[in-house]
Amino acid sequence: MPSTRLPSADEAARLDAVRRYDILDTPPDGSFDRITQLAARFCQVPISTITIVDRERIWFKSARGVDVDEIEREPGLCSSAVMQLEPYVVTDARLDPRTLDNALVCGELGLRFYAAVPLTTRGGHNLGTLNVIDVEPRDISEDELATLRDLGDVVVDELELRLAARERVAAEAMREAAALRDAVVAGISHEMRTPLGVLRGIMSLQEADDLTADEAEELRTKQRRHLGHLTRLVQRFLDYASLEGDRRPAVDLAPVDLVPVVEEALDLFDDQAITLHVEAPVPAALADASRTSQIVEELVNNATRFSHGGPVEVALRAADETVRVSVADHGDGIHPDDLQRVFDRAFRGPDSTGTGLGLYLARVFAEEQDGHVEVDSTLGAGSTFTLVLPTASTRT
Amino acid sequence: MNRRILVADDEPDIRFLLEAHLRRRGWQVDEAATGTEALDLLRTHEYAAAILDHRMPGASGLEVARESSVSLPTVLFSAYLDPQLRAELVELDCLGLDKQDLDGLLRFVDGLSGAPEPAVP
Repeated sequence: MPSTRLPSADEAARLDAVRRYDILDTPPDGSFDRITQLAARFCQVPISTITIVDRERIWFKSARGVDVDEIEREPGLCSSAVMQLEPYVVTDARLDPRTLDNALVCGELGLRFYAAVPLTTRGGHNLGTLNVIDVEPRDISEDELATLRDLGDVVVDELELRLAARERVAAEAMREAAALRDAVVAGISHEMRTPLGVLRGIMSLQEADDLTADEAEELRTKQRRHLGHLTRLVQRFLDYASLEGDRRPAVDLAPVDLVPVVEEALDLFDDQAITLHVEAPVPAALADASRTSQIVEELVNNATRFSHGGPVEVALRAADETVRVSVADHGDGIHPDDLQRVFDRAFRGPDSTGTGLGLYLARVFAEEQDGHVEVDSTLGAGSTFTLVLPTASTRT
Repeated sequence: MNRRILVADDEPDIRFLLEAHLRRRGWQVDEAATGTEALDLLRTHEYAAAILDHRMPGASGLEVARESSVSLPTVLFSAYLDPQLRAELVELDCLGLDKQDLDGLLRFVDGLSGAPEPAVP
């Protein structure tokens, strides 16, 4: 039996093409079934199939008149048809040396007549065949062959169209991701300007030799605050970068007393207008202390930013096997239409100069701890953001 | 000799900083936390110059600058100076400085006619 394998380089390229068209193992499809229907009817045969020739198997995209999903790749028939550009015709398979050993011929099916056109991509690779089959030996006319060729072209057109559509969607997704990344970088670098400017201004004031003790202390306080802000921005950016491509963030869960965690987070703000109310007893939460601190910082930062110096009330309490940290402000509030989207990546409110990342990251980190964040708001009156985490005892 | 400067910025620490620097240079500073407050102050007081943030509640820095630049040296001190904004400032004959450029701002102030002797030698 002569070898029916292509030189390996060509076969490798052909298999690459088969992968690229993403057709193997896809569900049955009317567009392809109609073609085999037309082919069988026009050539007046009981069987017509569309096959894709894989490395070790022949997979059927459409099979009319025969019930089969795939068969082993054997010499002859589709395996041979896929290696040439002209139609492959066998008028009596039992007598043709190329095919007389083939399982389809010797076996139950008793295939006698086979005519196939290769499915040739624009790039010149043969993915598989469109063929017509009979269990009686017969010839095929020029018209039938021409029609088969045309139908094969229709199959290829269909495959090309679908590939182009998929590629367009993928390109669009990449463009969106790049645009988002650019917006985030621009937003963060903008936001950094203010704390950097303040720090610089503070440091030059600190060089004055007439500073009172009070002024010096106030400068140090502001320095800490703006350095904290800068640190938060850098952290936010790093977190965002590590999450690109929808990677899950790493969290370290342990039973954590949230009272000191919240207190420490609030310390960074040095703001008289922020109050903390703890409704004891507060059981330990099953949480990542550092991520939780980050979330609380973000919620408080948000609240102070949008409350324009007004009071911000932080409350910590237990409810139904959860621990809840709520941050309430009396600022502008959030429009009901926007409420659903505040936690989306890159959502920015109408007056926001932020990156739109903070609340998104808060949500991601809350969910990664098996908790969540929620918001309640009244336009014109203020908002309350709440972080909800499971208690440690729920898990034991 | 007018020794008053208007500083408008919604960020209290920026106001604090600018007030501290300007006071040491012999200026008296009136602070506004919003664009609206700034406009109110402008209309009721005389200033030697106006230093304005851009993104503020109420009126924006640009809106305030449109009024103030008619009669006094005005600078927009902001992190958001894009080319379009800069072009508008040129039209108004108004200076635009990045938020990080405190040195540039102090040079502007020192260059004002009637700049008083600094309080600190």
